[in-house]
Formats: sequence, structure tokens, C-alpha cells
Amino acid sequence: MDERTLVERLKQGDEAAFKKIVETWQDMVFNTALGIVQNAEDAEDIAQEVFVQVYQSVGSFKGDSKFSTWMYRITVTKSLDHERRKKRKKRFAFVKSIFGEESQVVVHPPDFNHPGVALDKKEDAGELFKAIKNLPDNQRIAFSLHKIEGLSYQEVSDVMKTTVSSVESLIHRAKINLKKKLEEYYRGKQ
Amino acid sequence: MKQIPDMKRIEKALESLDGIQRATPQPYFYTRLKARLNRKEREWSGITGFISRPAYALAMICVVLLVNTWAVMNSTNESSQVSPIQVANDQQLPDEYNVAVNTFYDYESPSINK
Repeated sequence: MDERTLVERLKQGDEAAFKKIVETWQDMVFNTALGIVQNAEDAEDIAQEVFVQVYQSVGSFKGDSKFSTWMYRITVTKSLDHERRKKRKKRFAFVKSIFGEESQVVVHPPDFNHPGVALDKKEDAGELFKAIKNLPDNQRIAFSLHKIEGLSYQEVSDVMKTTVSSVESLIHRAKINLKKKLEEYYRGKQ
Repeated sequence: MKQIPDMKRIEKALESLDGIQRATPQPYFYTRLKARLNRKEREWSGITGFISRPAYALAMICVVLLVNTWAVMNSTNESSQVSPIQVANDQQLPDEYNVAVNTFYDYESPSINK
């Protein structure tokens, strides 16, 4: 069954089509979310939310772009929203702790290890992921989609609704920033 | 003096994502997703079910009627309780500038005043 037929059938409420869509794109959605939020539990939560939205708002998909591009957009938006919500919660918890309303134990998440990285590169990749987390949103999204999801510059520009040259520039600036961060990190280690 | 970090190490870190494999969610992702969807649908049907209950609908109608009645009563009270100062002020402007409109009755029956 091709993409268009699946989407048409989902629009008519066909559950088998929805199952097929989930099975086809669940890894793509999960991996994209994981690259952005760097936490497996959060990525699973986001992936589920993405498919819930796909199920509920497939009617608004006009077919101007590829279905996968549409899903990438939803995933990126949901991931960034999730991060903002998490930051807001942290700030709120901090303010509450200042006023002594609730003394929550601040849990620092362990260093992120992407399961798809080869064993001999795990340590370096861990440092790189830490640096990626500090990039501005646009650079982080462009870099993650290109490096972790393996999208071409053209595909990244479709997802981000921008031009290929903008994506090139974003990734170039991301690399410069990452180099600086890694330099600082390794200088501190020496 | 600051030491210059090993550039090769930085390059190695930057290239560490080359050849990365896609991460996959835990098994039975679809089952968990379906459970979430069902939960969301139940929540929504709970809300719509509550709103469409006759008791809730009747209560809402009563609230709307009460608010309307209160608004009407309030407005009639306000219009009947116009302060004397307000009346005087309203009269002052036409008197001062002589813009009071003579009525048809004044023109047609001046003899009444005589």
C-alpha cells in the first residue's frame, strides 16, 4: 500500500491504515525526538503524542509536502514544546524551593548515550550530545536532522520550511559552535 | 598559559555520529499508543457526556435565565433612579446654547400659553 492510499484510508478512519502508518514511521519519529530531547522516556512520550496528533488531524494534511515531512514537522514542534514545558516546570520547582513550599530533590539526568552509536565512539558521542544540547534551537534541529536522521540539506529545508542555503549556514554555524564547546570541554580536562 | 586541546580529538568527537543507526522505541509501541488514544477518547467522551446530560443542560438554562433576569431588573432600576444632578446637567446644555427643539405643539398652539 503506498503512502497516499494509507493517508486516504486513515482520513476515512481505517484503523488498519493507522497501524501500518505507526509501524512504518515509529522509528523515524522516535529517533528524531530522541536526538532532540536526549531522553528515551521523553522521546517515547513525544512519539506517542505525535501519532495521536496524526490520527486526530490527518484531515488537515493537504498533501502539499511528503507525509514524512509533515510528520517530521510535528515531531520537531512537539519535541521543542516538551523541552520548554520541562524547563518551565524546573523553574517553577526552583521558585517553590526558594519559598520553601516543597523541597524536591533535583535529579540530574545521567549522560545521554544514543543506542545507535557504535561502541568505540560512545564516549566522544556523549560529549558531542552534551554540546549539541547547548546549541540554539534552529542550529540544533538542522544539525540533528542531518546528522542523526541522515536527511539531506534539501530534506532538512523542507522540514524547517526554509531554503537550502539557510540550512547550510545553520549547520556550518552549528559545527563552529560545537567545536568551541568541545575545545572548552577538553581544555578543562587537561 | 592555556593549553591547546588536541584538535584531532575534537574532530573525532564531531565525527562520532557518522554511521549512527536509528534508535527504535521499546517493543509493543502500537499497543501503548492505542491505550493512550483510548484513554484520550474516554476523557473526551466523559466531558461531552457530562455536558449533554439533561440535568446539566437544564441547570445551564436556569443559570442563563437567572443572569438575564438579573440584567433586565438591574437596567430598569438604573433607568428609574436618575439623579437630579444628572437631569440638571442634561437640561443645562440645550438651555445655554438655545438648542432646545420646539415641538410641533408649541408652534401650532401658542394660544394655550396666553
